[in-house]
Amino acid sequence: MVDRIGKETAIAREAMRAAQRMVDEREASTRSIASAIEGAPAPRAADFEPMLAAGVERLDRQVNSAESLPIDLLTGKVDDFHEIAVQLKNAELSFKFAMEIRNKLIDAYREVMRMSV
Amino acid sequence: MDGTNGFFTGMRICASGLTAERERMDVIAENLANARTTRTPDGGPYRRKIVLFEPILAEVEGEERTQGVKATHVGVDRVTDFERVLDPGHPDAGPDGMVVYPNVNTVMEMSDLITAMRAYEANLTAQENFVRMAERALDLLR
Amino acid sequence: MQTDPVGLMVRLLGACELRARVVSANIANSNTPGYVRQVVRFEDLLREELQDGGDAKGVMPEVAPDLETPSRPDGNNVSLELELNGMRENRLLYEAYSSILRSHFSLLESAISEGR
Repeated sequence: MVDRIGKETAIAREAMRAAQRMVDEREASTRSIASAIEGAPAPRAADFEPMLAAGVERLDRQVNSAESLPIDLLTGKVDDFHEIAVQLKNAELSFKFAMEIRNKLIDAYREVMRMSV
Repeated sequence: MDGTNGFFTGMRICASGLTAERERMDVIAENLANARTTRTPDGGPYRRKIVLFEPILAEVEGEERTQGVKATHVGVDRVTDFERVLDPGHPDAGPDGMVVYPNVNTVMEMSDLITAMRAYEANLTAQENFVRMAERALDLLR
Repeated sequence: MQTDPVGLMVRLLGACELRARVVSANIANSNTPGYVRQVVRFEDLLREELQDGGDAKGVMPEVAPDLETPSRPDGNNVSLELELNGMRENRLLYEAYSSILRSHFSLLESAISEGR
């Protein structure tokens, strides 16, 4: 019995490690996407929380600046259509990117939870 | 929508060209219509009218830039001579039998009219060009 | 196009748009006595800078008068055909640059939703 519990725990631990690896892989690829969008290197935090917090902050800033765009267009503050389009597109992509991270995190969490301990 | 937005500024430049050329065409039409008017209400034959064009200048980003054109005023051509024709039977003939005709050269007016029309169409094409470029920029959002 | 492809495309688009405005000003003044046509330089300035190994970031579009093309008797040197042709070329450039941007963004979009 102890033997079996020991084996199951080992399996569970292995599963957790596998899940973490999978999530890390996703994190790495999304980090490169983040730098492609931002044009600046994404934070190098090894675990999620700081990276997520920074990402959310960045997204928030972009969405805010995108929200003021219609007003800026009306008041003539924003320069040109192509600049507006690019800013809006960046905000849109950041948002999609954040949604995708959220989805992957939820998937990974669910998969880990599905494993019997 | 004002300010430094490129497309709208551009369209306004073209609009100024359209307006100016239109005014020129109106003046040319008046000249042509009165090419043989020997008697005006003020007395004497019709005098050819001319339009003066000047660029619209504005300071953009610290530089002086041309932002269009305007027909500043309609003047009277006092340089070209009237045409004098011997025709004693004419009701407007003077005591010397000479009739004084307007200083309008029909051929030159027609040539100016064609120039103005071509410029008008070119301004129209240029204006349309801005609309197309704006559409292309907005396509990025689709 | 090393670090910021989007930024460079936006600047190229901006130069095209400036050029469209300058060409329009030439067309509007095609019958203005004494008017000298203006041109916009950017792509060739960029090329010069990059060939010298310099940084493309500092290059700005320039508006300059064309003093080489001879003037007509009234002092005006604008040719409608030349301007309209320039306008057509310029618009093609604009379309090319925005197409590049569009494909860049759709690439990013696919990358984001990859693995679904």
